[in-house]
Amino acid sequence: MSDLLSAVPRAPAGKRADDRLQLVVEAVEQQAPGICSVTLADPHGRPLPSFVPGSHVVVDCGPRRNAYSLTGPCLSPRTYTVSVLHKADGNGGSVWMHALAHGAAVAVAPPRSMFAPVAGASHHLLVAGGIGVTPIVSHARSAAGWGQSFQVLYGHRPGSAAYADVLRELCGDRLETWDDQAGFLRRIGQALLEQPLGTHLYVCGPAPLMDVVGAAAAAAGWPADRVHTERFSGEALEPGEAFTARLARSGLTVAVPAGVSLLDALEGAGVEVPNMCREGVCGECRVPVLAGRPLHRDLFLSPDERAAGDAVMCCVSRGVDAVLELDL
Amino acid sequence: MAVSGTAPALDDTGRTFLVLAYGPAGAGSDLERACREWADQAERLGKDVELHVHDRSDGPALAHVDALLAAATVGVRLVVAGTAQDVRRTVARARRAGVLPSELTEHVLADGPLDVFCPHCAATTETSARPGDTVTCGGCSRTLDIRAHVASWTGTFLGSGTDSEPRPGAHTLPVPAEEAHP
Repeated sequence: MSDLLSAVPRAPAGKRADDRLQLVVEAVEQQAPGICSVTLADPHGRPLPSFVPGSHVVVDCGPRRNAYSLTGPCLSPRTYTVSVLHKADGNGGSVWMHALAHGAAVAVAPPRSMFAPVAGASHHLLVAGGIGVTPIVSHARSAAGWGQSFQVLYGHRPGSAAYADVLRELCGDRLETWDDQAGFLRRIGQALLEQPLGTHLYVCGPAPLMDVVGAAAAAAGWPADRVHTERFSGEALEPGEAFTARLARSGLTVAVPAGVSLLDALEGAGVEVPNMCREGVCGECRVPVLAGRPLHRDLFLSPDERAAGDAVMCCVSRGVDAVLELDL
Repeated sequence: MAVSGTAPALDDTGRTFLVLAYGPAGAGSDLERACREWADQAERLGKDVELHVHDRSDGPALAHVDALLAAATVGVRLVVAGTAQDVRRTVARARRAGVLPSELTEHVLADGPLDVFCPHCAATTETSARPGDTVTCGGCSRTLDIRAHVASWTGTFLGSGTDSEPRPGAHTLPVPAEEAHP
């Protein structure tokens, strides 16, 4: 058996029937103004499940469950480190995380990979904006460790460069940082025109940055399968039109008024649907569609999956037609 | 790989186009007509197109292709035209250079010979035989069945030995002498 395989824990530490890892806070440190890093470990010091670079964990933050990218080493790590931007007007999760102290118990779902590096890429172009730097740190750590070709473009607010030191150490002169947005965007636009064949682009940051970079990449001729994005929050959505969900298995008919999500309406009717982020990001609340056209508003399904029209993320998506028939 | 009569349209989401073509491109030829169509379409799109035509996909031509691919940047769309063999060889170079299927357009103008990979000696043999036929390996002289399986990263058909090989399931490793005669 190779060292790699033997290093993988057979029964991941702290695993319970519900799959969540019961961890404790080992350290909390200020990463940058308004950004704290929380390091979590197994209470008995056992190694934690390995993860793919760019993975995140979903943390029980009091009444909320939030997804945070893992920034530390990914092979059989002793700790998980996440970084949290304090958002006074957020859903309360970041405030809860910032209040954590050494020794506090935290439940964490095992790592999930939705932003993985592409094996065989000839070069990785990593673009980070603000706190979106966290999965990029993970990518850079892995690429540097495996001796892969990569570069990092990192834009941040003046005086708020989380992980700049870590990245500098990992990347050397493969890191470029900007604290002015115009210069950052100009550099990205230039970089998109000069990447060798086989390069893959990874972007994580605020939604407007992702939109601008996505549009610039498309304009520069990048096919969608070279562009990888990690969105950490859903966008504010319109209330939408009222429609009816017909549940084929149970025979129920559920009215979904404007301004109420399909998931909320289903739960209101006593129908349980597994869910997590409730903003169209995590993919947990996928529901099969039997008839009627879905109005996709999630960030999870691929263009092909959207076009197939046979599933919706019921936390944000709705029906185009008056009736959406679900396999529930 | 089916021969097609009409030249496929350029993928207009590309920023620039690189046409790698093989065969006679004299006035009135199919290849000349196709190249002209691509040049016209690129001009209508206001995008740059580079046309490179070689007689055949031989060593020097493929070395030139490798150099072009090494200098190319993401955003380019490749158009590969020629015999099925030319297209397979060039697409293999492109895939190894990191080009995705979404960045490739193929235009097969004629069938023609094919390349057979020998898994016994790793030589590649060019032949006018077809899948299902046999060919003598140019490397180890084994008779190879030509399987209808093309490896996209090499552009070769898979061969498999018909003779001088143990039957399936009868394969054994050589026994070291000291174990055979304890």
